[in-house]
Amino acid sequence: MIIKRFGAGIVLAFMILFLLSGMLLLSFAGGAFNMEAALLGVIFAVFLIVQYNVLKSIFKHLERFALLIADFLCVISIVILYRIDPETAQKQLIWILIGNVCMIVAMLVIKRTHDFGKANWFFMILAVGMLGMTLLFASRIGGAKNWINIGPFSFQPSEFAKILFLIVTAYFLSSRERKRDMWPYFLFTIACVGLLVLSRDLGAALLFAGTFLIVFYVGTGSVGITLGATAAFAGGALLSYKMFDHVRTRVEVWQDPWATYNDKGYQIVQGLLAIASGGLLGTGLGLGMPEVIPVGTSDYIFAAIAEEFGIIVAIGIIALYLVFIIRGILIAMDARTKFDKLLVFGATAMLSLQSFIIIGGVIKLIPLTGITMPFVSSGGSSMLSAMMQLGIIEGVALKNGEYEEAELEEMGGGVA
Amino acid sequence: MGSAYEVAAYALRYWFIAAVLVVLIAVIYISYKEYQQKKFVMTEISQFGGYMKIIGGPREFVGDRFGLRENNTIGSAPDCDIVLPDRTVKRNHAVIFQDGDDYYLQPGQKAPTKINGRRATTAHRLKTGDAVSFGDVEMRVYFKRTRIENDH
Repeated sequence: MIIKRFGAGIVLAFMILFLLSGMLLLSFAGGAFNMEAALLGVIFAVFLIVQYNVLKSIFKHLERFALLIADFLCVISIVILYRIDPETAQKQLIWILIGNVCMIVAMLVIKRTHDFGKANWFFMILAVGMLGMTLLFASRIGGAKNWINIGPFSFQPSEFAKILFLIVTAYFLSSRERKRDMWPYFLFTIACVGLLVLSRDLGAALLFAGTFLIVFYVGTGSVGITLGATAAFAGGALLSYKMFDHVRTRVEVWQDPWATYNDKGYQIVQGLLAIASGGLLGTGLGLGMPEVIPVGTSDYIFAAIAEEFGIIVAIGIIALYLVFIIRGILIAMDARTKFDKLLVFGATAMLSLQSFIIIGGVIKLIPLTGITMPFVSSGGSSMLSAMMQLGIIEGVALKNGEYEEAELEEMGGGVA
Repeated sequence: MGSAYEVAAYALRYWFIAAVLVVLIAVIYISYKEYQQKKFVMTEISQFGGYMKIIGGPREFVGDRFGLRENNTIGSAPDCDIVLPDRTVKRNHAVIFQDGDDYYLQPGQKAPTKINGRRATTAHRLKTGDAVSFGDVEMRVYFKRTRIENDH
């Protein structure tokens, strides 16, 4: 009665080959050999090998597949970012390194904690405070007011509020039996979504509201309140459509981007043209024109990938997100306490919603809202928060593994 | 040089597609296999409420483990759930059965059975760590501790 771990070395090997061949190809892009690209690739490859093997040997019950998928998405991100803008890729590499530290910290904190208890009240105040601060002091980029500049650094508080939101959600839904005892949580959700709408960060507002609906339904199974809340959010969406020009423009552009090609529809049209010119197999790395897409490095990175690598790779990336979600849900089902279950489920739901909202926006399936693609888009705050959510998933996986091993040991088995 | 790069990039797109597909398929295949195996082991284990381990008697049996289900017949007959091929063990020596949360030992007639060194003739409740002997074979019983309960 021994659970044997299968080796996942082949995944890591192909990932490293993808990275090295991509960076080597890019190092010849300018005509002469460019040392910088090859060096960046080698550094990241060494880092990935060390990270995977060290984590695997320290933590016996590490959830390796979610980690490998996140790493592979980071690899694709580095290659395509270096193609578009080498400077962004260097920054992204640094953020990935910091993100890994954050992931390990989140993992250890979640592994040791029970449900944070009274600290949740502090988390609620902190999250609302951060979002309120954004509303007051933030600078405006692309219609949304969500960046705070401190000296040379700028960060998005809403990305960190996400993590706090997940913890508070799991705490209230697991510790309160009756729904009327959950009122502080309802107020908190309304405050978060309201502040985000007021600061015009509609993508994040959609993300918070969607996560609330999914996790609330999963946690309580109450159809009535979930439908009521859905109706309330639909009403809120309609209201913001009527109230803000910003929202109305987005919907109009989504309906017919070609009508305002020279102006507001330019980004969507360029994205669609990029995907179309890539076709099934792509134009080849370095042969497309992804640099003409506005914000091609963060929100529109999916269009850039689809152009240069082809639609097969783009669909492969969506499939990787799906596998990631399935792994997350399996961990949530394995978790032994309700808090852990809801925490992992919330993190998974949030990451999946985020990736599908932005991919849907880029391929003009739904109106575009400016959020980042987790693990792929450039940007420090989004990389850190995605890595922290991965850390939450990994931390609960470690807990599960320990319980499992204890159960097996009682029967004289073990995990190899 | 420029056109050489173009040729290389154009050719390498097949490699990139292949690499992504290999990673995708490998992740799905390996994680599915591992999940299947884990599921199998965990269901196998969850059928057992505990196990018995041979601690004394014929040298070659010492250390063997037997999982305990709801109803376990013990004896030297080959159709018993737990077969102890020893000459001092009767063909149908005893039964260990579950009633509610507890396990009971019912010795067979004239079968020499001891619980913690004392002779047993009627059904007795077993606790984890009890030493039970059937003839010359001595065993220790372990039951699963109650599961780690939910926190609400």
